[in-house]
Amino acid sequence: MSRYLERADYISRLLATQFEAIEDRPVSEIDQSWRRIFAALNSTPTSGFLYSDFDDDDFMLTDSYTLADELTFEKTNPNSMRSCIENARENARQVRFVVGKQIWSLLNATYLDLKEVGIENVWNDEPRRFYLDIGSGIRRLFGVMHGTMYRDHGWHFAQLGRYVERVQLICSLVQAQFEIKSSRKQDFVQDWYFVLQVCEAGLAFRRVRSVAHHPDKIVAFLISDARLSHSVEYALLLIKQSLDAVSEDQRHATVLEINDRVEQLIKQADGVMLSDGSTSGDVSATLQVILDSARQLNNDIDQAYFNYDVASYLGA
Amino acid sequence: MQEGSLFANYEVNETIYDEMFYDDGNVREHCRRLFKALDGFSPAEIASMQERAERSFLHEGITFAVYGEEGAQERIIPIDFLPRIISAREWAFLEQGLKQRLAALNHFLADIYGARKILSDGVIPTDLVLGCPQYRIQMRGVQSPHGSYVSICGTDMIRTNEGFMVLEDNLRVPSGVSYMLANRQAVKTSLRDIYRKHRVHPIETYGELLRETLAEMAPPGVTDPCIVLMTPGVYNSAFYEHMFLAREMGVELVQGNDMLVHNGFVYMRTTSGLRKVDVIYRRIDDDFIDPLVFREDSILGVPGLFHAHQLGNVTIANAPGTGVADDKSIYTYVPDMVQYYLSEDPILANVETYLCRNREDLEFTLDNLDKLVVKVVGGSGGYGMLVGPHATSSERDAYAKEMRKDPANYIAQPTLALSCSPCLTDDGAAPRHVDLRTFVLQGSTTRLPPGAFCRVALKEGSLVVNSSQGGGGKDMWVLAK
Repeated sequence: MSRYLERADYISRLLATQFEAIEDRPVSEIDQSWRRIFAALNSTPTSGFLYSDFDDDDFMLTDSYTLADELTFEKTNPNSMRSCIENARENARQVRFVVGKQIWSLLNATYLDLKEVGIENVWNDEPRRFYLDIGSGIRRLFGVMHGTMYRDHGWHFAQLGRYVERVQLICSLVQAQFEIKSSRKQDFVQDWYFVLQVCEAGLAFRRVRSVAHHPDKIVAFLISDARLSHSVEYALLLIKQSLDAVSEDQRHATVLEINDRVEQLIKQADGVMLSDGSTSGDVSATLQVILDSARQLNNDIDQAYFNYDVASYLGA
Repeated sequence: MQEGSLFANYEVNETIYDEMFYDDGNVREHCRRLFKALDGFSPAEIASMQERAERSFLHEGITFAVYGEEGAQERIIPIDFLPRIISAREWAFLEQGLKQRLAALNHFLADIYGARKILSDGVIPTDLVLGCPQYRIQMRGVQSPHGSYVSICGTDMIRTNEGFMVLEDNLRVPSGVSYMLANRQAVKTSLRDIYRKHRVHPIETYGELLRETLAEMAPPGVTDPCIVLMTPGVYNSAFYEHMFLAREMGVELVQGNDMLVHNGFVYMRTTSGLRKVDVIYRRIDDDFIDPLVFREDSILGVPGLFHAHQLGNVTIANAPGTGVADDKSIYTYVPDMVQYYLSEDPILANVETYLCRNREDLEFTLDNLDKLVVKVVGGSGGYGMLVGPHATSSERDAYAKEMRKDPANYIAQPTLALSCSPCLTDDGAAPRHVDLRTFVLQGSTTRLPPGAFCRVALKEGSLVVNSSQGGGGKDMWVLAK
C-alpha cells in the first residue's frame, strides 16, 4: 500500500512542478522536462513525444494535456496516479483490519475523489493546485499512519515499502537528469531546481548549502544528507531501522544477508558526499548500484518474510 | 400528525401487523416516545441524515460487491433511518426461543453425524437427511467442542398478525452482522438525543462475544487459542464484513494460501515464521475448505485442513456439514427436533411449509401457485424463488414445469403478510415490509447480542428484503426493561 502511495505522491510532485514550468518556461524546457518525468518513472508515453516545433505553444499545450492525462488518470498505465491510488486501495483493503478505519476512509475518499474528475476538469481549473492537493492528501494519510499505527510488523513493512520505493524514485530522477545533461552537453540550473522541488528539498538546500543551485552539491545533498527526508541515505536508514525491527527474532541466512546489504548501501550513499558538500567518485555508477539493489530488495524481502520456504520452519 | 410532519401521510394497513401502530392508527406503547420525537423532524431532515450516513458508508467502504457484466461494483446496503423498536418483553421471548432452537439444531447435527437416533426413531425421513446435498458424510464421527457444530447462527424472523415466526435458519456462513453495527453507529450518531432517552441495549460488544465464543471452541487443552478468520478474499461480496469482524475481534484475517497443514496441525504463515492455528472462523463454503476432501478444484482452501479438524487439532467454525440443518426441507422438522432432543415445546413457530417431495403437497402447491411462495430447497439470497401472487401466469407456468422435473428440490409457503415498519419515502414515512436476522452464538454457553439486522423491502408492496434483490436495512432497538 505505502509504496503505491509514495509513488502517487511523487507523481503529484512531478506534475505540480511541471505545471509550474508550463506557466512560464520555454517550450524546449517543457519538452525536456516531460522526457525527464517519464525517464524518472522508467516509462515512455503511449503515443511517444509528439511535438517538434518548439515555437508552437498550442502544440506543446495539447501534448502536455495528453501526457498529464496519461500520468494522472490513465487506467492502463501502472504509473498513473489513479492506478497507484487504486492499487494502494486494493492493498489497503486486504489489510484493513490492520490499518484501521481512519486510514482506510482517507484513502478511500482520495480514491473516490479522483474517480470523479478527469483531465479536462483539472486542465480547465488550476492543475498545479490539483496536484498539490492530491499530494497533501497522501501526506496527510502518511501522517495518520504515523500517528495511529501500532509499531508491529505491519507498520514496519509499510515503512519498508515506502522507503524502498523512495530510494528508487530519487535515484531514477537523478539518473534521468544525468541523461538529459549528457544529451544536451550542458547543465541547466533550472533543471536542478526542478529536481530539488520534486524532492521537497529546495528550502533545505538553500539553508544548508547555498542559493546557487550547484548541480554537484545538489546531487550530493539528495544522496547523502541523512537529515533530508527525501534523500537516498535518509530512506536507507529508515529501511535499516524497519529491517532491524522485523528481523529481531530471525536468524535466517536470507534475512541476515538483506540486513548486511542495506548496511553496505548506506555506506555507499554516505560516501558520495565530500566534506565540502560536493560529490566524490563515479556518482552515476553508485546510483545504479543502489537502484539495482533497491529493486532486488523488494524481491528479497518478499522471499524472506512472505513467500518463504516453510520447510525451514518445520524442520523438514 | 401535523401537516408536513414525517408521519402526515402514513396509512396503516389494518390487515398487516404494523411495528409502530395499532390497527386503529394509535401508536404502540413502546413506540410512543420514538414516534413523538421523529414526528418533530421533516422528511427532508431525515432524508439528509440518511444521505449523510450513506455517503459515509461509501467512504468507509461499508459495501458489498455485486458482480455483473461490467465487473465488480461496490454497493452500499441502503439504510432506512427510522429505527424499528422491539420491547424488552418481546426480545426476552425471542431470546428464549432462539437459544432453544439453536440448542436443538446442534443436538441434531451431533446426532446425524453420530448415532443417528432421530433417523432410526423415524422422526425425520432418513433419505431427506442423507440425501441432502449439504450432508457431509466425511463429518461422520467428528465431534465438536461442547457439541457446538453451529457456533454462529443467523436465524431470520418475521412477524405476522399471528406473532413471530422463523423464516429460515442460516447455519453455514451467515452474514449481515457488520451492517447491523454500521446502521446502529450511523443512527446513534444522528439521532443521539432520541437514542439516549430510549435506553437501548448496546450491541457494540458483538466482536467480543464472537471472540469469546470462538475461544471456547478451541481444541481441548488449548488455553490461549490462536483464532483466525478465513476469507475467500477481497473479491468476495462480503469481504467488508470479514475484515470488519477480524478487526473487531483482533484476530488475523487469512486466506487459504496463508495456511498449511503439517503432521495434522494447521499453521499460518506470518512474517516471523509459522504459527499454529487453533480455531478457524471460516467465511467460505464447505465445498472450498479443503481440496483433498471436498471440491478438488478449490484454490481457496487448505489441503489437509479437514483432516486436522477430524483429528481435533483445529476447530472449524461453523463445522463443515452444518448446511444440512438449514436445508429448506429439513427446516420443517425443527419443531420436532426441539421436542425430540429437549423434550420441550418449541417456543418459536415455523412458517407453514409444503414439501413438494410429498405428492400431496406438490399437487396442492401446483394448484395454488398464485397464492404461494415457492423456494428451491438449497437456495439463498432470494434467488430461484417464485412469489406466486406477484408473478405472471406465464412465469408461474414455466416455474411449475421446472418443479415437476424435480419436485424434491422445492418447498412452498403461504405468501405471508410480513409486518411493516415506517420507512422514509418521498412522501414522508410509509409502511414497508421488514424481517430481522438475529445472530446467536454458541460455544460452551449461548450468547445473543440484543439486536438484529433488520432487513426492509424498500419497494412499496415488495416482500423481498434481500440486499441482493434491492432490499435495505434499518437499525433495530431492543429496549431495556
